[in-house]
Amino acid sequence: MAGYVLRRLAQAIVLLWIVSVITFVLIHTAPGGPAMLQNPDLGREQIARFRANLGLDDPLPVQYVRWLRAAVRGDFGRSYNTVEPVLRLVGTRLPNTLLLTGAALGLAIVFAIPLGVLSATYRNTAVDRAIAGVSFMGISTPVFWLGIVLIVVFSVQLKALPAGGMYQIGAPFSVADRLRHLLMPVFVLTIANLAEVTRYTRSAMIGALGEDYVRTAHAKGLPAATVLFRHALRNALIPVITIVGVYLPRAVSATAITETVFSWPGMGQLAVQSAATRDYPVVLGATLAVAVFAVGSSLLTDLAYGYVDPRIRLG
Amino acid sequence: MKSDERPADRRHSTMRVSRRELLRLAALAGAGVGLAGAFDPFPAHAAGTRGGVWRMAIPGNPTAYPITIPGKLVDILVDKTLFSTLVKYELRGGAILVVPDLAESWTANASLTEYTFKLRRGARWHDGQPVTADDVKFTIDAQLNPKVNAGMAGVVSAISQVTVVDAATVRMTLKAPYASLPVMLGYNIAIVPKHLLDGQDLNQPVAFIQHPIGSGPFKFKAFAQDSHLEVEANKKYYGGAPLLDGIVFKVIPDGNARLAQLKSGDIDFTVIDPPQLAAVQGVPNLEVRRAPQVNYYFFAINHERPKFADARVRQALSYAIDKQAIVKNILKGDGRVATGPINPLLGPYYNAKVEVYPYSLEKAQSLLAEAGWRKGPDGVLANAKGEKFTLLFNGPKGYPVMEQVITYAQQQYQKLGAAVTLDIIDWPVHLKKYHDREYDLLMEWWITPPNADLYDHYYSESSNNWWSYKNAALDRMLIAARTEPDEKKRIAMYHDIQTVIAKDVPVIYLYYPPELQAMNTRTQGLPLIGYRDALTWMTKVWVRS
Repeated sequence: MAGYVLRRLAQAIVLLWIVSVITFVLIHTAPGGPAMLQNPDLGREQIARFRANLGLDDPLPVQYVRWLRAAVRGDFGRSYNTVEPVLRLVGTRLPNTLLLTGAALGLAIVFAIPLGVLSATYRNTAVDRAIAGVSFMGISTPVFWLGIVLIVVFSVQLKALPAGGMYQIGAPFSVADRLRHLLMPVFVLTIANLAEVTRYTRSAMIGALGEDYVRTAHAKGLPAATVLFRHALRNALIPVITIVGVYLPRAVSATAITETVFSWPGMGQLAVQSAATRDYPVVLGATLAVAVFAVGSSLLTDLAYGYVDPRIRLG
Repeated sequence: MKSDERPADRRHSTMRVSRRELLRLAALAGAGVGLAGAFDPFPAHAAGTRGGVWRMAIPGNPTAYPITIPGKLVDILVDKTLFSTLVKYELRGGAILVVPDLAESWTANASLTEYTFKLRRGARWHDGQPVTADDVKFTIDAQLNPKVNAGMAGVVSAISQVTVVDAATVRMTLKAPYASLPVMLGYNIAIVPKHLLDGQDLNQPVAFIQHPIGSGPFKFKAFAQDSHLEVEANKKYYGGAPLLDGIVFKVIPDGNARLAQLKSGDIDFTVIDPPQLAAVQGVPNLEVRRAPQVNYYFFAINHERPKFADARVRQALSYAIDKQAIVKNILKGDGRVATGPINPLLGPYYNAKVEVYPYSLEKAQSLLAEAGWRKGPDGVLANAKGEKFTLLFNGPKGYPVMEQVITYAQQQYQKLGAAVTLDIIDWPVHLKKYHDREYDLLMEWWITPPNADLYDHYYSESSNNWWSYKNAALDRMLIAARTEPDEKKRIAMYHDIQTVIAKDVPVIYLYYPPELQAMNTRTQGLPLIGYRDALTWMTKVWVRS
């Protein structure tokens, strides 16, 4: 097992290096250049001088090696847009996004697994169709529309919930305040996740319920609940772990729209804005953070398989 | 008790005292409720006094450091409250005037090559140190230092040397005569403290950025990344303590979210675009303000393209655009047709009596024909050599009003027979093509300080001349005007310049729009002027509770 993990870590490092090279080349060859040099008040000579001062006129490999040397020492530079150290920037934004997506994924699983089991058990009945219909609406609703509608109803008209941000400015820390700010963005993200996890659990359960061991269990005279939860569900969990494993990397980057609508300071917003403004250090830092997360969650998922399914021997 | 006092008077005076006591109690109660109810970091002001916290939306994280890039708009906005400039701008009688700020007076020598500024007494940094001429010299030297990525270096590029005459007097020697130095020193040249920045890396003075110290009416209080930046009143401000207790700049990246927070009362002020007008009109507690701004919107013409060499072609392109219709139908009446690069807000400098190009497709067509462009059998204009009149029309994505204007213009130019290709692209690429002259026409705007000097954008060799426009006669006039010491003569020269420009059509002038602001009516005392300048007048603003 230890050998397996070490090998995976070595692979991860190589993968991260490749990601950094590709990202570096992509962002530097994207037309336009850093937004801070795009101020129309800057004259041609000024722009040329700043580019030279920032080292942007050196050949790409030289710039890359300069970045890499600093990065392995832990220095990922400072944002062009706000002079904030990239590591600190990513370090504060990442937990914000994880809070959002963690809560959303957790809620989605809590509701989706029972719904999926229900759908599978009573498949093709009214219950199943009702759940399928709600799931369909959940998948089809655009996040930005739902977010703005919720803000209009609950913040503008009912004045019941805050219209954005993570906390009330100036107020002392209060869990209730944080929860009030979390409510709408988490709801929006949960709706999006719920549908997929429900459908997936349903099909996984249907598959599991059709297996021979289920018929055997029924034949042995075990109560239906025991068959369902002790035997079928545990096997159905393998595909569910796959889903969670696939979601985890998304959990740190695919939230850009929700974060923008709710002014939630997270990684999604950071990634999009830094790419749009060609904030090179931040783009590299954010992409690597997501890559680390993706690689790490993939390793965790594989370890989880090994735990859940005794047939799988890792290494 | 006086002998002639009647019992009724005594009863009256007793009531008067208790009414006052009642009011005092009510004020205290109000303050108490305010403290308990709103999570206000600043003490709630008693009913009847002017104060409060004003909240404004900004679209991104600000860096409150005025010397270097990034120098984003949000940085400049925050800096306006924290720092002071030597002069600032005031709207008076429909014109924007230069008024003293840190500099209480200034003189120039006869040839306009040397200016002496006298600093006001009593100006102090937020840490208590006095503001002196050393700080001014330090600031401008930093801007001129080639190793410093100073965003405003172009503004002070006319200065060759700054000399400290005494603690309150600073002399600036210029490379060439320049009439506009005082005006330009008000354009974001915020003075920074030498005693805190001397010896630091001026490109990234980390400690200073985390806690900026300025001499402005507000002091830095706190910055929560991605949430907000708070400033609080500088009670010792030399211009008088502000009425407000503080200002919160709330970071709200999304335009719809800004509107939602304005409507829900979470913020007091945001600028809006014309498409958002409908969402705020008629909402109780909100008002829409049309604030005057020194600007002009135009179609840039790429003078490196041979087809634009003939002035008749450029005039034709202007005749084909119905600017009145644009103001009426696209801007919904918010704006004036532009006659040239000098905005009416420049008062006496503005010349309204120049050649304008009232809408006429026939005139446009005949001018093009005179210049050798005739419609071929396929309906496309072609010249004698058989070259087709193609127009690559560039515009920035994400500006609905500009996209509408460009689409309208495309239709008009197609009616003339031009083969128009639109190139609406995102901002960094749009600017890159602007800089690299990869366009035929390009829609852009200038928001400028209230300075009539057009040298930067119109002089042939200027590094901010993004159109490669070369007019030797105009070059001479521009130099003469910016070096003329007598203001009356200068005004006459700029009138002539506007006449020449209007005839020569370096760019197609479209309109002067106001800045649209949406504001909670509890805001009092905010001058009706673009917010880049309104933020320099925050001492008189207060919030009704």
